[in-house]
Amino acid sequence: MLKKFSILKIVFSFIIPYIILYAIYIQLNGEVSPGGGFQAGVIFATAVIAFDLINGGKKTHQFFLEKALTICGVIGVLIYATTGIISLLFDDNYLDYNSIAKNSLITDQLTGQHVGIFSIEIGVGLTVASIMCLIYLILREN
Amino acid sequence: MIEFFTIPFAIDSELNFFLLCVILITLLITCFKLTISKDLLESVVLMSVFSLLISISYLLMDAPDVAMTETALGACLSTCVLLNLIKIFGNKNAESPNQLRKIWAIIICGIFVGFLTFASFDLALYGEQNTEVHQHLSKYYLENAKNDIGIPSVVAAILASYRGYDTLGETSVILIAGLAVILILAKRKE
Repeated sequence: MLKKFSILKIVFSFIIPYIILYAIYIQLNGEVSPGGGFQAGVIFATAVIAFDLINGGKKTHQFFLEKALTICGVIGVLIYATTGIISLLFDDNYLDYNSIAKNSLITDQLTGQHVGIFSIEIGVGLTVASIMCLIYLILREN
Repeated sequence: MIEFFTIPFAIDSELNFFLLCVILITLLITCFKLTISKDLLESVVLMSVFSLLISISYLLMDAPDVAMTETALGACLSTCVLLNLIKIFGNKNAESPNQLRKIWAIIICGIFVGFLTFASFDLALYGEQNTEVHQHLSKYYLENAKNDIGIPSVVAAILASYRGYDTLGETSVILIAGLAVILILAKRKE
């Protein structure tokens, strides 16, 4: 779309890696600072949109296939659901992260909560990022 | 009448209050321009401006999570999606409705705004902690999140641990929305 505007192209290609870095930062620090999986996924999707705006459809299509994005979205929900099932296997309630620490070598009770929250945030981030990219790319293809 | 012009104590500085007032006025101007604009492209850009302004106001009112989401989703992503839709359907103007319907619409909207303003007098003051809503669940979360979950961000603790089922549902809703978009709009290879 923006092929003729070289200033925008240079500025965008400078800023896109930092947007992706920021998304990863928010994803990993969701427990400490504001943000979390959803925000990280959406920010990653904005980076993909910027990439699409400056490079055109063909190049984006090389890296972001619709099928692969759909599979990533499903994998994200699966990560979330399996994290819940782990506690179900140890005779606890669904999505009870305390049982992760109770039934493993970890002695600290709260570490189980940390592990559970971290893994479900990764699931949420993966789903949101892939689905938001997917919606944008499909609407652009038409 | 004086109550309107005193700064709520939850806003920490006068500068923030001043900025919020400026944002409010700019939002009103944007809304007015949005209602009278006849170009679809102009409307999309104005909606993006609206999202950006309101996300700044969220940031000033200490809700960085919501501000981040609003900037990325409202100002960037939905604008790009709407621009694509304009590219698909063309920048056509809708036929303007006749005069009588406009008058009725103005009357109905006026009544609605009046009722909302009347109801807003019963709202709790911004940042007031002693209201009815803040006595039960949110108090429990704020007091116990550190001991139960052990992470500093209370929002993340509520979303991921206390309300894990809800977040699972939200994530599946997003997945289902994406799948529905594929089913309806994706090009089939024939």
